[in-house]
Amino acid sequence: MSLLQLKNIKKSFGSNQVLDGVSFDVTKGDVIVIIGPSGTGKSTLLRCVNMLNPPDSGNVIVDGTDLTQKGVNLSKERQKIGMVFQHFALFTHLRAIENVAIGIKKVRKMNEKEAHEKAMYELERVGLADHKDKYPAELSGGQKQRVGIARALAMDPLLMLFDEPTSALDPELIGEVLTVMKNLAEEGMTMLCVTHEMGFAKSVSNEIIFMEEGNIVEMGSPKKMFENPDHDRTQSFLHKISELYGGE
Amino acid sequence: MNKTLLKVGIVVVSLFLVFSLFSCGQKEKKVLKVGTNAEYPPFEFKENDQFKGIDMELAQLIADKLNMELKIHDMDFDSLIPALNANKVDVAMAAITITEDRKEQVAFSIPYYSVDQAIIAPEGTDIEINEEGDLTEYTIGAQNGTTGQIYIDKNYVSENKMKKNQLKKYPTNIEAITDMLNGNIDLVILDTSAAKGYKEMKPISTVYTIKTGEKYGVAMPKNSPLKEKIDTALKEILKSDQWTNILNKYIK
Amino acid sequence: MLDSIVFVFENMPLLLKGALVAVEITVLSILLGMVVGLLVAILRLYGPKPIQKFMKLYEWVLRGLPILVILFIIYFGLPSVGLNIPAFISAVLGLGLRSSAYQAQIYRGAIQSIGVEQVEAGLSIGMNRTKTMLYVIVPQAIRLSLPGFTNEFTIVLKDSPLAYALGIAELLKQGRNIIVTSFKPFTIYLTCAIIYFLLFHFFYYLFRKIAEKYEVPGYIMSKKS
Repeated sequence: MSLLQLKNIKKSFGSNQVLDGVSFDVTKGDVIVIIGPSGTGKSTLLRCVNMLNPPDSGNVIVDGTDLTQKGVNLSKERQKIGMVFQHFALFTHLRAIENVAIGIKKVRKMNEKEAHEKAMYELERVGLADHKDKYPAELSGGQKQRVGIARALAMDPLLMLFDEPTSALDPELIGEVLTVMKNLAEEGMTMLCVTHEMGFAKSVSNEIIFMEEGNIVEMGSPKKMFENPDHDRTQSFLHKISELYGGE
Repeated sequence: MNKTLLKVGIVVVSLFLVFSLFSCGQKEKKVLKVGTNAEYPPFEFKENDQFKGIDMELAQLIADKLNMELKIHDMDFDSLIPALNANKVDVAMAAITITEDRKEQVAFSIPYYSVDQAIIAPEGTDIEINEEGDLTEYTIGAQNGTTGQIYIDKNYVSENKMKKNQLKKYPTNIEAITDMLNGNIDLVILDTSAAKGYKEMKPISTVYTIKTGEKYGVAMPKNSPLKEKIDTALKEILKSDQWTNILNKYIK
Repeated sequence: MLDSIVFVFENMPLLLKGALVAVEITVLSILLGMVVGLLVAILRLYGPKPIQKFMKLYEWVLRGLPILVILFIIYFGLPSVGLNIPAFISAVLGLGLRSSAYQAQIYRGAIQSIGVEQVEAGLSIGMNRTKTMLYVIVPQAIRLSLPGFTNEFTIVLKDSPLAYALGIAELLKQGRNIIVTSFKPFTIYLTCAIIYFLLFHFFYYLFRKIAEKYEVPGYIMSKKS
């Protein structure tokens, strides 16, 4: 059963048609990487999934509920979708553990003790239990992003969205975040990632979607996309990206 | 912490507003609200947070005669007439001279006191004023809004007999007299009753008296329902021993 | 000189009584300004367009009028439409509403300087707009507003003597009552100035301490960070 169905998503900003009829399905356990040139609507697409930027037309069906319909309780539905931001977006005034716990405390109305335990569990999962009392300003980029992942995980989402999670990180910090993402994938989390990290795409994802100018050019397994894509553009783009960002 | 503070703040302010608005409507007992500017001895001033002075004691006598409770509202002199017209006070007693201009805005009781305008200078001064016109050679200070200030403005400044900067206006006589004693101005014009009071405190002497024969009256809104009663009360009081005693107490 | 000190000492109780009134007026006005100011800021940022425009007008009018004019309109003007408000409340209303216009600016600036990503992060974990406001934006906005707020507090404190025009026996009026019977303007005015000065510094220090306590690394709220 599809966890997520995107049907003919269209979105424009002013006169710029950023998404021009994008459709695909995501099954439970899928780890999908979306790639493509900058400005091609990849992030916009991701933000349509949790309706941060609602599409102009088209349907977004998560776990059976069409989020684009009027009367949908978005706050409730968004709890099923976790999001990790390029620039971390941690709550600056809260310590790491409070960042992770605040969702379950204020939205799920969990009591203090249980929320604390759950938050610690997630922090341990991302390897940051020791830093629970630090404020975001005291953490490195990689640590911040891992807290961001823990915060999203605390809500026990069905699906995790990663919006260029490592693009804002120094090279030596990228690894720790990718490791966490890899572990998540191995645990069976359904993930939709916009990223340039081709190593991750090749070794962890089970599907790669190549987008250009608001449309899906091609999608398929990593093996297919890297070794035998149908379109020349796919091939040339992947080739270029692998050179820049490393293919292993 | 911040949320709690906010909540506390809202509660405090709301409670306060509710209480005050409540007590506002409950003062329906017969209270005589008298507006004054308690910065004008010997007519009205404050000593140890108590209202004292000729006007204040007269107000009490009037309230007694009218069988009303007295409540004094102290404010800026210039605010008295607006306060009357806005019903913040029923009457105003602040050594207010009855003038045609003022009669256009408020009503007055029968007069209860008579004064002239005194021109004062530091004690031992060389200044000689033999006739009123001699004033034009000097700088003269006055409390803003008083008949003395208006007199000089009307009769000298507006007539171009004195330059505008020869008349300096002050919030009270105190500042005017202080400036004079400091040598910044030559003379001060003020009611003879006030001059008498200040002579006790500072080395000043009267160099001339302008006989204006002005009269103080109790000011009230036009068509005030209290006018008749107050006039009747005043007529009785002004003939009484109590009144003579009050005057002797404050004016030696 | 010694006489002057004795004289001041004798009159201290009255002056301090006035100082207490000044503080009361200031605190109540600031609180009113805070509540209304926050509301105006939020409505101007997130309300429907007509409300936004109205809030802009509100700020514009109240910031453009001298305080005395506002006080007089409330105390002397409103009775003509049937609203008779006592002097103390008029003073608090006048000072408070004017402060609300300035505080609204402070809070709006603080909220706007918080990245939109903070709101998105809140929404993404299932918070609705209200919760995002309450738990993400407001706590940060308050910290960012503290310097401006402290400044505004001292401004209102220094404007509180204007209540004297409505006849309220605050510090300056008490001073003047003493001056007219003692003829010592300089001594009394100087003493009043010193008392205001001390009050100013007391509150400034108090707010600094509060800022230091709620300091969060990443925000500059006091000189300590």
